Amino acid sequence: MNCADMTALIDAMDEENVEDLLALFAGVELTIRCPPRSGLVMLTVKDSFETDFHLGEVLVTEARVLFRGCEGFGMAMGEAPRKALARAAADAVLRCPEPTAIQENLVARLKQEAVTLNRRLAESAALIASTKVNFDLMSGA
Amino acid sequence: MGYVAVKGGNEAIENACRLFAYERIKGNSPVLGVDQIREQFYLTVDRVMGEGALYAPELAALALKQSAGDTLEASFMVRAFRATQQRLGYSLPVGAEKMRVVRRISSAFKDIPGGQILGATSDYTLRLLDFDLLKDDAARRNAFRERIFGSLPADAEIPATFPKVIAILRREGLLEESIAASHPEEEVFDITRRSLIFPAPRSARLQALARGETGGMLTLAYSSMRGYGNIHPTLGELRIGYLPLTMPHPVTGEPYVAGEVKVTEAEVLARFQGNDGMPRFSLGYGLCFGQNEIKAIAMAILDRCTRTEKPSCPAEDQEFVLYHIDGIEAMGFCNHWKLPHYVDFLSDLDRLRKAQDLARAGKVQEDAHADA
Repeated sequence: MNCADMTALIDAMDEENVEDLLALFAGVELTIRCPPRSGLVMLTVKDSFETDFHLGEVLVTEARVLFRGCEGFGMAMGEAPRKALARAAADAVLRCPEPTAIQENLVARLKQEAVTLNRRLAESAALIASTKVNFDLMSGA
Repeated sequence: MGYVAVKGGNEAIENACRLFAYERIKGNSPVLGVDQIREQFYLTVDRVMGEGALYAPELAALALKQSAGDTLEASFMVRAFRATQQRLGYSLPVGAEKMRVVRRISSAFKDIPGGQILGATSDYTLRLLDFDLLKDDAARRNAFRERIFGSLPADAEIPATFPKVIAILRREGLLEESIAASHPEEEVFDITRRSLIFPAPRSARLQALARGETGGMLTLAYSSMRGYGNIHPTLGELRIGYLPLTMPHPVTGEPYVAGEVKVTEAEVLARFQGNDGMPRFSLGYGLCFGQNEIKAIAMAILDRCTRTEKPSCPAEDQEFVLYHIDGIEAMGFCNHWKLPHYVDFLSDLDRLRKAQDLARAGKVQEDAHADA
């Protein structure tokens, strides 16, 4: 799992877990380079003929954080300043080339989150899979 | 058309706004939380996001609460909010083959690669009122949860992604060639930055259709289905799922997934004669925010209709379709009739009275001639 995938796990966290994660950074020399700000990202998609078009905008919040000279970027869906900050901090820490204790703690916490998220996705996938259908043709059709 | 400004009435207007807000809360029912609307009226929330052209479930739910459930008003509020926000960037283009699918059906083929997944749908319900919902409570919900999870097979899994059904037709040369190749676009048109021009490039048409009002689009598509036009399609594939919102990371330049966006995609097949004389299926494409199957299918039909070379009905007329499907513009124009038109109407009255006077005078003259 790369750094971007790791921080993407934060997007699936609820508010309480985001606060727990942010608590990990207490005492760590982080500098907020750009405080969280909300804005829009235009979602560009491809149709079935490979024509790009703009589907519509998505409300997001972004933030930037510095950790030991390493700039971290965080973007989260919706009006979510704490989540954007957590993603930016995690991005900076995980991309910092020199190993740190916070890095280890963060990876352990995110791996734990990955387990929870995968369990939730598997549960949802099982519900969806239970609706897989095999229609039979009626006689004479 | 002449307009006249009016002034005054501030107090009455403020009271009317307050009264509207009071109507929503005057009963004794518990306070309706925005989270309840977002979770339990999710299809309406999806519709508002699609028509407001902004993916923001929390705000769409808030808009629905504020508008007392009026989807046009709610979409208007969402679109007005979007106008206050700066654009931070553009996502990397993503196709629906990357979708995390939660529902996927085809009416063209019985057996499709990956299988038909009905997902969460009301298609097979009898549309009979469920009076048990009158007694909905936590205990009932918990029992339902236990039932639904208790009956799940342990090995039930679905693939991460599904191949496209139309790929089968493409492989056999039964589907029209790429439109992009025959009508290349230098840049993606953005109707939020530039006015529509006609004939509109494909990217502009699709963007306009994606933010269209469901009812308006259904009406036009239905007119074509019923015979005011020549498109009677087959649903190649309908899929609902989540597309990743991927940005280039501003520092590393690598793809960065900001989150997931729920969308509905429809591909409809219609017959046509190819330019090279070889008959092939043509394809209509629909994609919109949230779970809104009617809109995606209607969009696909209208996409196909508006590519007709010689339009013969309203649904095939690109300008007619694109200028009339925006719910916010349509409701705005309709609503404006409620504003004071005193001078216009006074002028109409004057003209009518004069016309009546002339008619009476003419009648008197005619009578005089008849008597003579």
